[in-house]
Amino acid sequence: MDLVNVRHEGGLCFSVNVRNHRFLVDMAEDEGGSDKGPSPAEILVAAFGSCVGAHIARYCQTAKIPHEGMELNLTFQTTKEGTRIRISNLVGDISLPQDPGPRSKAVMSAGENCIIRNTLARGPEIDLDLDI
Amino acid sequence: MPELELGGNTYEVDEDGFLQQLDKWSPQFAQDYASLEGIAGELTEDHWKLINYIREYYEEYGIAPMIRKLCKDCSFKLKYIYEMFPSGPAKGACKLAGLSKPTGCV
Repeated sequence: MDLVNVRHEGGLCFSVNVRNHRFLVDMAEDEGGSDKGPSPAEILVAAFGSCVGAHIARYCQTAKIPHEGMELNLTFQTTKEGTRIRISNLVGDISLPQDPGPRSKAVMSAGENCIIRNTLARGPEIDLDLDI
Repeated sequence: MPELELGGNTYEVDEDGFLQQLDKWSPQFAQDYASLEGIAGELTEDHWKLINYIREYYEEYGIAPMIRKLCKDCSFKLKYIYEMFPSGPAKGACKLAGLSKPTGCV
């Protein structure tokens, strides 16, 4: 696993630097940010969608199921528990260029076995420390 | 309490623009609010199908419906809902349906 470096860029904006990639994460203006990039929650949902998509694409390649231009549309709902807000519901529609017919179930199984879904389903142990 | 002026009427809304008094809602409220939500022109039959579904669900259960239920019961794909309501089912459709800001639902 490569190091994921998250650096403050001012306000609520952070740059994410991993391997030779860099992108910005920010909050929307109505959430107090400057909207220079997707929000952390949107990145999480995007990670989920692209991971599901990658697993489906891999299965489709093997099974020779057309999948060029596959699209996943996702959204999420939040819930407030006391002072804590969390994503309570993740919803996605997956569109393939052709109906996979009898292999639909296998396509869905491939997507549902992705690393991000498995992680969200189980919840990882989180260990943060203040490095000063 | 912030106020919103639409079509010559004044409504009490929260800081995000959600109507605070459900009984003040009218179809005209939804139509007048549509342009502020990025919806051009008249609301279509599908807009009304979604708005009415949300209102009926809220009247029965006291909360807004879950997104998947809304998609299935109205036979709309998620992408289409966002095409109709650019700010989404919660910020867009529920707002036009006159609901208060949803928590834990659409």
